[in-house]
Amino acid sequence: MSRNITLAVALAVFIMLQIFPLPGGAQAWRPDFVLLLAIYVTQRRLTAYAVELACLAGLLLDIVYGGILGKHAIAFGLSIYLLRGLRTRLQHSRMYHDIMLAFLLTVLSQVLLYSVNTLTRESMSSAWIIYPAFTAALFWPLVSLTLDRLITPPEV
Amino acid sequence: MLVLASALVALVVLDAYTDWLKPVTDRLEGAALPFYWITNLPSRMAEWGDDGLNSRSALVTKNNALESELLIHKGRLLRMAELAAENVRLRNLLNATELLKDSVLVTELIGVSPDPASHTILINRGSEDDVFVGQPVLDANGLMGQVIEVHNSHSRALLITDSTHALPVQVLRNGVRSIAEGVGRFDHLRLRFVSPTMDIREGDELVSSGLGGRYPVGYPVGTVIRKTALPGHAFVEIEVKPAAWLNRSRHLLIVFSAVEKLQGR
Repeated sequence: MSRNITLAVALAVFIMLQIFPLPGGAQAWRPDFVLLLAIYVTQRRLTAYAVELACLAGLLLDIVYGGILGKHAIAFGLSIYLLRGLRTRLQHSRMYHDIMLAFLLTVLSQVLLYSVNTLTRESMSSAWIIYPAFTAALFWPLVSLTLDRLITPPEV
Repeated sequence: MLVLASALVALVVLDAYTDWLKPVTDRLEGAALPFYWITNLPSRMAEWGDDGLNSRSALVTKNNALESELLIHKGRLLRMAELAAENVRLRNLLNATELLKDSVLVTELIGVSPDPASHTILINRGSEDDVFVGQPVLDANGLMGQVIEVHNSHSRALLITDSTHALPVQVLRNGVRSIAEGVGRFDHLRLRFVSPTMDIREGDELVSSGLGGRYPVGYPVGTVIRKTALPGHAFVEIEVKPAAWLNRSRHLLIVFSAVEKLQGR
């Protein structure tokens, strides 16, 4: 299977993971799986259009969530833009660096989402911002190792 | 990059503050349904499994019809307590009043918003079933919320516990009115700006007051579980436990209201 098809399938699976019904309290702890995929794609240099793809994935998520169009696209796009700027420094990063990065980028994404929500008065609850960052850090090794097995890295 | 960022900001602004993108979002919303359908498969399979163990298909069909009928009757019964209280207060004026007669449509929950900050649900009735924006949604125990988006075959409803939602309520015991706000928790509502002298006690049942015209009068909203007077504050904090099973109910009712004169009673 070509890399692009694998990525598309992975995106569909990750979107489903992101909307899979969880019992009440566990919802708040759900990591941003789609953002983790975008981080993986950027870090492994799978495409030159990581920011654009992150925005597209965010837009897809907005459509599935049914909220305001573009808020996830902005959050993911800005997070990945920042990551792309740091990519050369993080070329030989260790796993715990990557975990830290997944945590920080999820926090950034959540803050951006919260800001858009507040500005558009869609939702004012701020209690959940930090929770997904912890689980994103927890899930990052599993996500990256699984995707490493499925996706062939580009030849340098 | 700047162009992309500007385009996304413009998209957010347009979608949040205008209706210009409504036709587009209506079409796109349909694309989300397969995702919800797949993610709901485990619970559907569990339901199918239960049905298969219980009986043959004819019995299952009959059972489903009876369950729907039961839900409708429960929905109607919910109003009886409030009506009884109202009858006591207004016995002499009964012949002059109007009573809301509600018809309901049974619907099934097909998706829950994964965003913990947004309490919305997807239901499997849409404009094809004459559902419209603003219709109240309830389960067998009380008010769940209201329809906020209608598509062809499905709709999105905002739950009463969403932090942007508020509804007018009254105490069943004495008719004192207030506003119940969502706080973003499925098991929690609060009454704000309640004066310490207002006669609201722990254990009081709250029902919709019908003010504002959005929700019909008399549907159970919740029970007062705590009343806290904070020193130095002008108002007391009142916590309410919702009557509806907001994060558990799968079969719901959409209310269609019609005013019926109490003629011949």
